[in-house]
Amino acid sequence: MSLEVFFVAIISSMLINNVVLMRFLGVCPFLGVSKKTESAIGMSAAVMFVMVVASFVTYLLYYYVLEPVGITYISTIAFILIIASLVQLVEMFIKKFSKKLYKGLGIYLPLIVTNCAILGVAEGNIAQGYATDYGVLSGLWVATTSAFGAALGFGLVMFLFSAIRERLDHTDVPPAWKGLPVSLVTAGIMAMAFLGLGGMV
Amino acid sequence: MAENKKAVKNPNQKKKKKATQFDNFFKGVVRENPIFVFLLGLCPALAVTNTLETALGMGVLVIFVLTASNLVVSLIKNLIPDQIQIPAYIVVIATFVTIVGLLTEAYAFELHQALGIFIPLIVVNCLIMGRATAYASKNGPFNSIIDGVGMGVGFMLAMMLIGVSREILATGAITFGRYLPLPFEVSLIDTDMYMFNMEVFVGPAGGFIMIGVFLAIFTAIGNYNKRKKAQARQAWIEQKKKEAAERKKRKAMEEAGDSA
Amino acid sequence: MLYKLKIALTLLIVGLLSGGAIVFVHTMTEDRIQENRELAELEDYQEIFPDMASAEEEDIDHDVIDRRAKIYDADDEQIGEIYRGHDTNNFGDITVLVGITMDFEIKQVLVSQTENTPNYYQDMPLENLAGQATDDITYDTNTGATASYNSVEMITDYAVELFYEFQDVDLRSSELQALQTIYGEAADDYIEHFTFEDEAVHTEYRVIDENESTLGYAYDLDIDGELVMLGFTPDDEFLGIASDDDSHDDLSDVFADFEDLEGDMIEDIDVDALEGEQAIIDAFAFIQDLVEDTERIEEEYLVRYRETDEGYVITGFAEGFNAMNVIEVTLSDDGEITDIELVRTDDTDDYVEDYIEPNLDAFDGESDLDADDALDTFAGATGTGESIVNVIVAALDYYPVLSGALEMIDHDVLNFREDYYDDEGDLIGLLYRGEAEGFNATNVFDVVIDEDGAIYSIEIVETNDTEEYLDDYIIPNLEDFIGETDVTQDETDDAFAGASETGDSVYDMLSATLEYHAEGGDE
Repeated sequence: MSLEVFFVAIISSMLINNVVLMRFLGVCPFLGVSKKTESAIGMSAAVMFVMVVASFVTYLLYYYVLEPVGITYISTIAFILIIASLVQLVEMFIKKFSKKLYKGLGIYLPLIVTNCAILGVAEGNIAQGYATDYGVLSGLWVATTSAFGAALGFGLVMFLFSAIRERLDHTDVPPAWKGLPVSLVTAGIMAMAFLGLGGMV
Repeated sequence: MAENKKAVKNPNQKKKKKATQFDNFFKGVVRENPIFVFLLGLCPALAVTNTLETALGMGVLVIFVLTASNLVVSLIKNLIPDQIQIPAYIVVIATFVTIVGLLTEAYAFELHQALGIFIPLIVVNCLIMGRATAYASKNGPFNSIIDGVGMGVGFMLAMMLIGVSREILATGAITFGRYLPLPFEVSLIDTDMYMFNMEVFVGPAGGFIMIGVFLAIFTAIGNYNKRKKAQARQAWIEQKKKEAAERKKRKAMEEAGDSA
Repeated sequence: MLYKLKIALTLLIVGLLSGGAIVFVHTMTEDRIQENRELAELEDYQEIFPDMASAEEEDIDHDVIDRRAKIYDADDEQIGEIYRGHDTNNFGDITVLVGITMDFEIKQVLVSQTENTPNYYQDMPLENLAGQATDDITYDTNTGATASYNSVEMITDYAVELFYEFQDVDLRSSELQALQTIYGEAADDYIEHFTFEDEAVHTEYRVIDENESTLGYAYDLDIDGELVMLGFTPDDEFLGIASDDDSHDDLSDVFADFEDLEGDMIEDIDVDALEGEQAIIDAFAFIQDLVEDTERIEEEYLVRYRETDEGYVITGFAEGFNAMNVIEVTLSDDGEITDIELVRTDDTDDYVEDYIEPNLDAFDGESDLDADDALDTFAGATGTGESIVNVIVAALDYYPVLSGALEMIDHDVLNFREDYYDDEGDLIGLLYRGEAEGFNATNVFDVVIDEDGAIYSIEIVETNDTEEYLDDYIIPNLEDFIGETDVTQDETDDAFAGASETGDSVYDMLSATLEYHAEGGDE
């Protein structure tokens, strides 16, 4: 397996199949936490951390526990519990070791449990069939890389969108369009722009 | 005098009325519509609303999960220690989602394929967790069911509204029977004259734009209502002031008359 | 403590209940889900073969086609096969199913999945493909969805190819079948060497084996619409007569009349005394005339030559703009062009009259020609002009062979040798051209042996080996062998350590040259 595979995995999950704009995952935090660039970055960092770890763990759980036992149909419930406890763990961990980091990320962590991007990417890794394409163990690395790329993509659009919204706040928009409506249309235009990256890989 | 009171109603009066079961149901459809008012569950609202059928299907699944989890949560709310409320609710919701997923795959396979990853993602739909913690854990089973159905229907209607708009704009037709397990397949409003085929509405961009447009429309309606209400209130205040002034005047006249 | 126990217990009960509920629903729906999943796979098949009752799928290892499904009807009779292929074009991935019936017809071609623009791929005229015979598929090139359609075309072609392979169908042409009857399995392919116009035979074929060396020459003719092939060795010995495998048996009676001739040289056959099918007798007479005073040439563009009092007449054959052109180049004894004649052409008359024929004289007196310059002569009729120039250049290149200055060598390694003159024009010795296997591919060498039988120079004329290796290990060390009259394997191993396989090819070349030179160099 060449490095190219990882490069392609990052590019395609970050830009081409962008979680927010193409796969509609994590739209709630995308709209909710993107009012300020600062909080957008904080949220993205927290998402990146949890998404990569969650993908890694859920992939292992799926292929080394659920599949051998033959209960892959409970993957949803298993994954969400893993993610919930993972978030709890990470919160405890950060709280204990870095007060500063906790101040920065801590408030976003509880929100992440209901961020469908995490569960969506974890489920997507399985649906994508990395294990059949590359073998179970190699697939793990591709899946994790791809999750990292997805998180980068999430961060990228969060950052871009928050910057746009900060400017939108100071723009004279018709009263009915003020706030979310115009933001959503902006997001639609962003999605159109990302559509153009489709032929890249 | 009595005529005057009838002409201008007190706009605050309605709130004092006791909420009926119907109100409990109806609030989810309009006043507390999960998508257009609370912006909950936007992911599926964007992802599976490219046709009316998928939107409807997703809506039905959400109604089921929401009602069932609301019921169970309201039943077990007293047995669950506060500390593990959230994990326990997650397990309950995830269980129903898994069940719904299995049933869909067995009895509505096309719908299952079309909704794909968004069936398991019902688990993290903020709407369901939100209702479980905010309503079902504080109310009885019957009210919880009503609340679940109402919220679910509101969610479904909103989804369908987006779905029908997107499907018509994109294809000029509405198709039934392609995804839902219906014994027939039929296209409504299928006009060959339609030549725009705006495929952007099938894709992600169209989803965002469509919801944005609807939000703007509802905001405009809301603004209009607010303005009317404010006007009504203003009119009521004016009326009261006038009445008071009249009363004062009459009193003064009466006093004057008495003294006279 | 009690509180924690209560928490654990509650979680356990909740988990158990939820697990139980899920397992219950799972067992209830398991079969149906399995069935649905299988059905979903088969649904597309059903669309192609409505009579399908069951299918047997297998994954195949192929770049484009990844699945083959045998389709059976209700009586378990195979009614066709479906091949699934993927391609990625500029607009995304596309998956195509190609259904082929057992009667070698395309049943239907279906786009089962694609990211291509729906409006385009939906308008593709795929229904035109249905019902076409697999050996002659006409694709509709007037489609508005070129990218998608190209993918469909490619996948369909591969599917048909694989289908033939799986059905074990003889893909040999009827020509090859006939040739293999005459020359045996060794006949690997043939080159249409020359086509005749309105003669007793149609085409002269050069029959080659898998190493592309000539097994012989064959000529074909029609008898009642059936292909009949006459085969000869390179020395014009008659080898046999045959038709393709599916021809009617009555031809074998016809052929029987000529069996006695097998092993005879063509010039020894008394054509007038032959009895039997007149067409075949005519063919013999024609071939006899043809080979009587001409010799064959085994070069690209050249067919044969004949010697005249003034020099040589070389006949060449090249593809022009529209069709084949036959050109005769007359060379003097000194190798100068004295005449060029366009014997036959299928190209447009106007072109030939206006641009070709007036210019043919321009080459008279030339003995060396640059192809690019020569092409300018025929500006206006480039296609035909190019074919003529190809023949002229090839004829001039062949002149040294005719004059004896260049001698073709029949040898594993060596190709030819010619006199070698240095820059001052003094005769040094003989240059040997040969080919030997290197690490990656064949290397072509020029080795000059001087009059004392020693190596005068070594040059690598053509190679596919890695340049770094050649520059670092081979070329600097070639000098070591200059002046040698004998080369051993050990010496080359030492000299070319680091590039042993290419070094071996140098050894093969040098030893072959020295050996050949010592044995027959001075005849």
